Amino acid sequence: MSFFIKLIETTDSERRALENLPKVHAMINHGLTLEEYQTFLHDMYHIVWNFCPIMASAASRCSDDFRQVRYRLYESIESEKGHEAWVFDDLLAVGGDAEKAKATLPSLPVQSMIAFNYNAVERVHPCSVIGMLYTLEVVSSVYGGRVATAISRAIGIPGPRGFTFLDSHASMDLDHMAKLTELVKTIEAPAAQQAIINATRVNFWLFGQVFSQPVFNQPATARAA
Amino acid sequence: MNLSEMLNLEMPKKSSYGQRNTQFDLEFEPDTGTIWAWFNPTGTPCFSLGLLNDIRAHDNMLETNKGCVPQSGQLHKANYYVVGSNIPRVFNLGGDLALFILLIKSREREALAHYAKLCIDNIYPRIRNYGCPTMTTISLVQGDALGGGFETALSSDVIVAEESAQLGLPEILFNLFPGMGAYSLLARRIGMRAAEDLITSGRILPASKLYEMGVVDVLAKDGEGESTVRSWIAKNQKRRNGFQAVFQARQHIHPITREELDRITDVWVDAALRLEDRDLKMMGRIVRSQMRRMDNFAAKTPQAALAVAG
Repeated sequence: MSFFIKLIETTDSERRALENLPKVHAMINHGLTLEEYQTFLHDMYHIVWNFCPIMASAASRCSDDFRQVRYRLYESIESEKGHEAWVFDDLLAVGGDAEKAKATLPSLPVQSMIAFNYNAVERVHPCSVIGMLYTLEVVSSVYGGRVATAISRAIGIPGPRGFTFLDSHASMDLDHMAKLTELVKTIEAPAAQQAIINATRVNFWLFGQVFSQPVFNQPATARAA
Repeated sequence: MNLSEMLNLEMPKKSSYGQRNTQFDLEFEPDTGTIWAWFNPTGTPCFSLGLLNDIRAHDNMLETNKGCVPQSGQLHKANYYVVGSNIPRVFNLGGDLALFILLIKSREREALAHYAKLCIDNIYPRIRNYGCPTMTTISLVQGDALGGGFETALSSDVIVAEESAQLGLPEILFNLFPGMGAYSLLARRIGMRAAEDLITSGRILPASKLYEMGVVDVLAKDGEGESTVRSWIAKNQKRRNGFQAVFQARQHIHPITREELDRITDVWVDAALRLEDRDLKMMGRIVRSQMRRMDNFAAKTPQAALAVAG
């Protein structure tokens, strides 16, 4: 059995737990309010801003035994760098204070997610980064497809301005997922496998916690007001 | 008054057994030797890897014990193995479509084949009555049984369905087909032509219609599925040996082999990997409609709310 199957099996309950959060259901099917979307983009800005440094940190720590991971990370850094500007522009387009969002700390779950991923690649195993990549690919490729449309409809802003980041990640994922799967299947060292499994579990869980913030859980009447 | 009351039947005692905290709740009724097994999946009521593994763990134990159930330090022979669902108005919605999307986008033949094998590892032993020719298997369908949920219902000797239950094979909507036994099991009950018609139309039919077609064996009034199963067991108790022989004969007349099921899953994996972006988008729409449906249930019933929350 390939490590990809093991990864799918051992992290399936965390994926399904994220899938089954009522707020995630609501976002996928009915979008978000403007305030929720602005909060979401604020968090996404900091995730994306730290994405490349985390990958760089992991790449610098990969031994030659994991050179395929290192090379894949170089490619990912090249393709992902600058995407925080998309989020910044989206935030501006939907009336958010992008400069303030840039200068303000993200939510506690996102601070935890960023801190966890730096620590995991620097202190546990550099291959932990694959758990972060896998989680974000699954979220965008499996669940992200219609989110931009649902949010656009819900807040009455037609797009594409304001939705560049979500739209681009929902459409570019087909090859991403297949390439990532190929990379996962090359990992044979038990310590690296365990680090990837743990990082995947933690990232799925923390991503779900983003939606536990009060702004995402106001009663419908408060949201309408 | 339901059938149990009309026949003045006393409700036999059931007690839980098996591992705790699984997605497959188990009870055993020593008086009639009946296993009552209930799907209790967290989240969308589909065949997740967790549920499939929990079912397999139990059924492996049952096969190892030659159809006996361990309880109070003793092994009890199981005469009947009923499978139903703890989720209101849903038997099972079939395969884990979100997982399918993930695996198809990953172009992961091995992982898709692994999922399919796990399904067959569960269905095939049931078709063979877990190697116990004296055990009758019963599907108790009290809500919608779609795709793999319908296939599972078909894998039992007897299908008892409540009138408002809807059953069908919607896979054609996203350009696929039900590959884990539906064709073989339906063809055995209603012939190949009618089986293909159900598969290629993707029609979802009420239990009453499927009863007329000979797919459902016993039609129960809504809310009376469990008592109808009890009544069926009580009514046929004296003829149990004859019934079991008929079910065995069915397997000789229309045998379904593991090899046949495995080959069909190979076809399914190939077909799944040929799906295009528009097909996956349709699959995604169905995932979302399943989510909406569970939200609606959760809003209406506290039990479903707990199930959705996992």
